[in-house]
Amino acid sequence: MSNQDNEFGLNRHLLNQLSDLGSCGLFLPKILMRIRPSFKQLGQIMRQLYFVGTRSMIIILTSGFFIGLVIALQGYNTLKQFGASESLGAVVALSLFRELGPVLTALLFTGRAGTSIAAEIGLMKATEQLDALELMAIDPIERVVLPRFIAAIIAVPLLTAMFNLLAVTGAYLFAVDWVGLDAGLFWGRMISAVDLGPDYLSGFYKSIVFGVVIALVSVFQGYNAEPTGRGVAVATTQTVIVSSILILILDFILTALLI
Amino acid sequence: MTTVSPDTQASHKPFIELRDVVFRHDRLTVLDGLNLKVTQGSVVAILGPSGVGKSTILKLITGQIKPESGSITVNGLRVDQLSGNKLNNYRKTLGVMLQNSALLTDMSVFENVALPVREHTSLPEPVIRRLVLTKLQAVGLRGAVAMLPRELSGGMARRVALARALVLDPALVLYDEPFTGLDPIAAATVSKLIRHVNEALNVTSVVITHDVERMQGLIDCAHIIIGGKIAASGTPADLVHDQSPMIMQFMQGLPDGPVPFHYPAPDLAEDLLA
Repeated sequence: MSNQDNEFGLNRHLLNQLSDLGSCGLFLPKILMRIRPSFKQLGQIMRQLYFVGTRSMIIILTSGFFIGLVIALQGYNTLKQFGASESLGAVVALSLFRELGPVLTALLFTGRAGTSIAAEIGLMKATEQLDALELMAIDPIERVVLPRFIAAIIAVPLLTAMFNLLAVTGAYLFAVDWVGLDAGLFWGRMISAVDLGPDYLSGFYKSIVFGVVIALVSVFQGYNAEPTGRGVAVATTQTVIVSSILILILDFILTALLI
Repeated sequence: MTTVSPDTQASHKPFIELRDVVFRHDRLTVLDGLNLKVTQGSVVAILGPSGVGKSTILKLITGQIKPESGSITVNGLRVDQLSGNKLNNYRKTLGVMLQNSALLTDMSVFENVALPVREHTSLPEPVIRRLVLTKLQAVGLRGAVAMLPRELSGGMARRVALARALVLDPALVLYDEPFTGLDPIAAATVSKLIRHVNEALNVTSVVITHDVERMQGLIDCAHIIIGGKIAASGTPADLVHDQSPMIMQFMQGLPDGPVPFHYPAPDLAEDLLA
């Protein structure tokens, strides 16, 4: 294959990706237009919140706990060299609340729930379930897409808070019970270093944006999947790739804006 | 070409009428000036080899796709001109049984059958329960009410899909390949149910299929689609005796004939020695 062909293929691939991103953006108003305050819709959202949120808790909480342990271990060894090990609580909290909590939770949520949403909707399409809904005069976007979309947006900030909580717990156990730092010093430095606005809330805002990205990419990929086994596999993979890249790009942009 | 007697056609007002319908997919002409009439209360089969456009006809009747030209009228409504709420209201009068049954996998049999009622009516729960159980009793699956779709056999899933299609008492029921993948007992059961439903509820039924053997005793009239048009129409008995090569090949299941066994390819010797 010549360089020109390679270039052409690359350009076409890039163009397809950009066109997909554009279509994904256009899918958002279609979903939002279907929001109707009703108990029926609320019930469907709560049901999905259980599937995408509650069922993601084990992986999020376990990861959070061990990441807290690892940050504390690495942080302690570095801080000790400068005689600043009592600042461990502050270092752990700032790195978690500002960056690691929202970003890692979002990446884990993409792998656990985003893929599941894309695969489920893709399979519903492949097995004509979406067609069946349409033929029963039931809007598939309202009935299938919207509850999963809203549930994912609600789940990500809540799971981020839980991730942070478990990570801080892990770091505390390492610092106080393992290396014997003073508990009062650990909490005191953490409280004095963390500002609610720039530190905790900026992470919270990030997690909401990440939630919207994951929710939109997952439902878009599933709804537009080719109705075959391969199509569902591609949709699932694309969900992880596109969501992860967008999360990391948006993390940089949001950090620059919020810092 | 065998045709239904014009008197028979004229004596009934057509419930479904497709007139000069042209439908193209990419550059391929799927339907090329198709004309089709289905009288009210009849069971009509649309027959034809795979890929000939049978399911396209179903999608045109349900309003899922629009023709390039021509008109589709169902019970006086121009389906090809419907959209939005009008299309949804029209679809509430249809019952469609899809090839894969298409039951929602996260819902029980009861929830699946109750879904259209819950979405489109405000009936109280005890009435919905009675309605659903009555429909499930009609298809012989009242005992499977709590089962999930994954626990059902192929035949049972089709029967549940039929109960769901009938739950709002539609005027027209469309069946897309209802016998595909079923064992002979399940296929015979579904076939009997289609006829029974048609007679008991006085609905109009359109069966899209390529299963010639199941047609005897089930349908009033069959239309064979070949080349984007109706190649022959008539009762199964009429069609069996049709002498045109195309119809003979289809009815007798001959592998070669006007529809060739080989997909167009270069000369075999040239290809092998290349």
